[in-house]
Amino acid sequence: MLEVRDLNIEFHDHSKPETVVYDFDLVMEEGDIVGIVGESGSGKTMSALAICGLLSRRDMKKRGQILFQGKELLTCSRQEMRELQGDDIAIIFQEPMTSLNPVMKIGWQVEEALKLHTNMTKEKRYERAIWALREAELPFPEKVYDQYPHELSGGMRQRVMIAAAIVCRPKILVADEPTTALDVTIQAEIIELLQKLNREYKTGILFISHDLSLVRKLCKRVVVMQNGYIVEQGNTEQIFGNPQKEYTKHLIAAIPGCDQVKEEKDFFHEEVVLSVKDICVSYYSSKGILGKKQEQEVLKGVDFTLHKGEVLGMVGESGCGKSTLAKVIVGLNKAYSGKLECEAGSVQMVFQDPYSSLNPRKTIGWILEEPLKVKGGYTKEQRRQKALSMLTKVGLDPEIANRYPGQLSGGQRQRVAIGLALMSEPKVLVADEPVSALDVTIQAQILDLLQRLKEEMGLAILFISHDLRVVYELCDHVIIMEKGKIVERGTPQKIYTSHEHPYTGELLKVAGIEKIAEKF
Amino acid sequence: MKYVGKKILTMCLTLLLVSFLVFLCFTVIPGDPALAKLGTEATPERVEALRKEMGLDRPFMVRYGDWLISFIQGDMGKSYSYSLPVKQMLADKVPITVTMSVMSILIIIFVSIPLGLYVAKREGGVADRVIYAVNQVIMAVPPFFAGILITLLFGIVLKLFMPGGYVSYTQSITGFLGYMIFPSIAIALPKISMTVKLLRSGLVGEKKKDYVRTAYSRGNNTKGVLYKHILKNAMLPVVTFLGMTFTDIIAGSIIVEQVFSIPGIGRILMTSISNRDYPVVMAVIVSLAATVIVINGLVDLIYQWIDPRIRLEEQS
Repeated sequence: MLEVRDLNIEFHDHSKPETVVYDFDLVMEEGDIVGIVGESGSGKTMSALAICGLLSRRDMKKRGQILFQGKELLTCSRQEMRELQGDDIAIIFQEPMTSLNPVMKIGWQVEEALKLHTNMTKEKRYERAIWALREAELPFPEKVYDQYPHELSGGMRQRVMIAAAIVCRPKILVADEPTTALDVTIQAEIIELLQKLNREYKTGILFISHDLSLVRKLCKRVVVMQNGYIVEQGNTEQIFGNPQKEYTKHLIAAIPGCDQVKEEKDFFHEEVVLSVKDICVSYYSSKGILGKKQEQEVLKGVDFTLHKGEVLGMVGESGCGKSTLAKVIVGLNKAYSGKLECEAGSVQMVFQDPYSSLNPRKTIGWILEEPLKVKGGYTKEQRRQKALSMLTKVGLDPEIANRYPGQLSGGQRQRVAIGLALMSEPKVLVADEPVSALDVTIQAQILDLLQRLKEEMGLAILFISHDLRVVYELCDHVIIMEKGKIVERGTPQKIYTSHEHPYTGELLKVAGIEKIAEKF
Repeated sequence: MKYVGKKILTMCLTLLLVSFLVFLCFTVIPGDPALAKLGTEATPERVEALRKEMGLDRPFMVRYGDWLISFIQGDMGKSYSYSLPVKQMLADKVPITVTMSVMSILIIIFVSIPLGLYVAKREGGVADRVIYAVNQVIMAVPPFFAGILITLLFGIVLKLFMPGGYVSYTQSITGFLGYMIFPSIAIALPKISMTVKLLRSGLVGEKKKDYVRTAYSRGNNTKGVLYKHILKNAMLPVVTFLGMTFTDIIAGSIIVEQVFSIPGIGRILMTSISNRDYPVVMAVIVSLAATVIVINGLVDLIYQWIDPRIRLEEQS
């Protein structure tokens, strides 16, 4: 049905043409589910956009062929391409929060493809839109039809995107990282939804992701890409069971596994560097000036202690209060009740988003020196020296000191952010989802770095994450949070093999590690 | 409905405050209406007598209360200088200024929105760059200076209208509108360039958003994406700006009326202030304030109609 041959994509908007995809080949039959995996910059999204006709023909030179049911998509007229877009070929994107038009009703947006491709009556279109919304498993489709995007959560918006994509019953649905921006449990639901659509309507799915475990779960065939080239392609079992190429092996090895047995360490004789007792936080929202204040409890009595050299993993979905707790601990939120004991200035934080947490107008050197300036008591030369040695420590070239954050990759920026947190020699590092915005291989490197720094500096780390696999690898103890409460705690071994709380079980299930017990 | 009621109440309170402040201002600043009225014939005794006659010797709060009560009853008082009811004085001036303001806002809307769309479509092209340069110049020209230039070019050189030859709408509607078009253009010009710039940057910025890619993926053509998706989003800042512009125009009409010798509200306000003709000044300023507040309220309503995110916040 879809055949791509020798596709080459070149950008021409800079003085030098830049090739982002080389000799891309792909064959999809009706009802196929094919996955493209690779890290950022591997060309997977570009190939997908090319298939959907979403690359500007002006900035781009494409060579090769894209045949859809025998029609050549690269040379056909724009009008012919537009007739296929949204009708036979549909796409859903990574960012459900921004991919919908904020000022148009959901119903209008779902119906749009019908207006463009069919001559249904208004009533027929409404019926069809409701069908699509129901098919995408949105509760109360009639209500959602009249709502606006900002009234829906990320997961619901992605369902709306899916509803709008399937409303014309496309032959191919391209899903570009559709779950990356969503919570784990919602991720699993979206994957199930895609499977259902494939089963019931024989919709071919081209699934693009950096998450190998998701691809393994969903796809029948896999294409592995790196730097614009296809490294390997084949059946899923074959690729995962018996990878041929070094890069594929490397990628699979970088998936944080839960396969090695961990030694249990005892921290009770170590110094307590952070103690949290019965922390409660409530947010208040009021309706208007005279309206009644509404209380919303975010944290309901959380307590734990952190010893020197210990890594404590905190796991939960968004909204469970983990980021609020992090803010309380580093002193960014003072409106809490309970007891918080730690040495003043001994806690530092690393944030999730390495792209926006560094000031883009300052050099890396300046950024690293700033905590020392605030602290005072260092000469200019001393500050410079300390910043440079910190760069080496976090595995960066000291040369980088003169560059700006925009010139660094995501992994490099996260290293700078970690270095920045360590400049004032803290005892506790609070890392709020420090690797979730990064590619798998970079993820593994950052985790190694944290492990090494912990051993070198005797740091205690509070590691906040939604990824149970990462937590298993790095942490000595784990606490599971649900709706502002700790529902389970213990060593990773214990939690992963014999959990007690049903919520933990659910989290383990969606992470695909429910059967870990068998390994031990 | 509750929201609208609340809004109207705040409007009234704002108006009350404005009137009080203006009243206070004219008590504090130097100048005496009685003295101004008598002019050269003033002797201390006559001034004193006249003050008593005009009720100026009473305490401030009493005078303000008196004014407020009669104003609410629809009586704007009598002009000191002309001994005419203020209402009658303003009645034939208001349509002039209103016509001029409405004409200029219409010119702004009907010129700048198509022009903004035109340049945004040709982003980076020759037309875009030329219009950008012209815009920068026009934006820097204040309305009164634009008025002088227009008088020179269209009036004296091209002889399209007679400078200073104002035609009243009671004589000839077409002649009146024909004359008013030039001051309206003078007012509109700098605002047009600002609106074009704002709309262009809005459109260009919105073009890069994710939802635009989604719109293309459904099979929309460039025109469909621009008109059905981008325009409404890009209009948000423009609507706010146009609202501020409208109030600005009404206030700015004072100067332009001078340049084109139009006997509108602006003119009468200027003479009344120098004559210390308080009843007229009060009436003009309070009605101007009322207009501004009503327009702001309307802009709020339009804004909510365009942007559903605001609607939600207002309701809750």
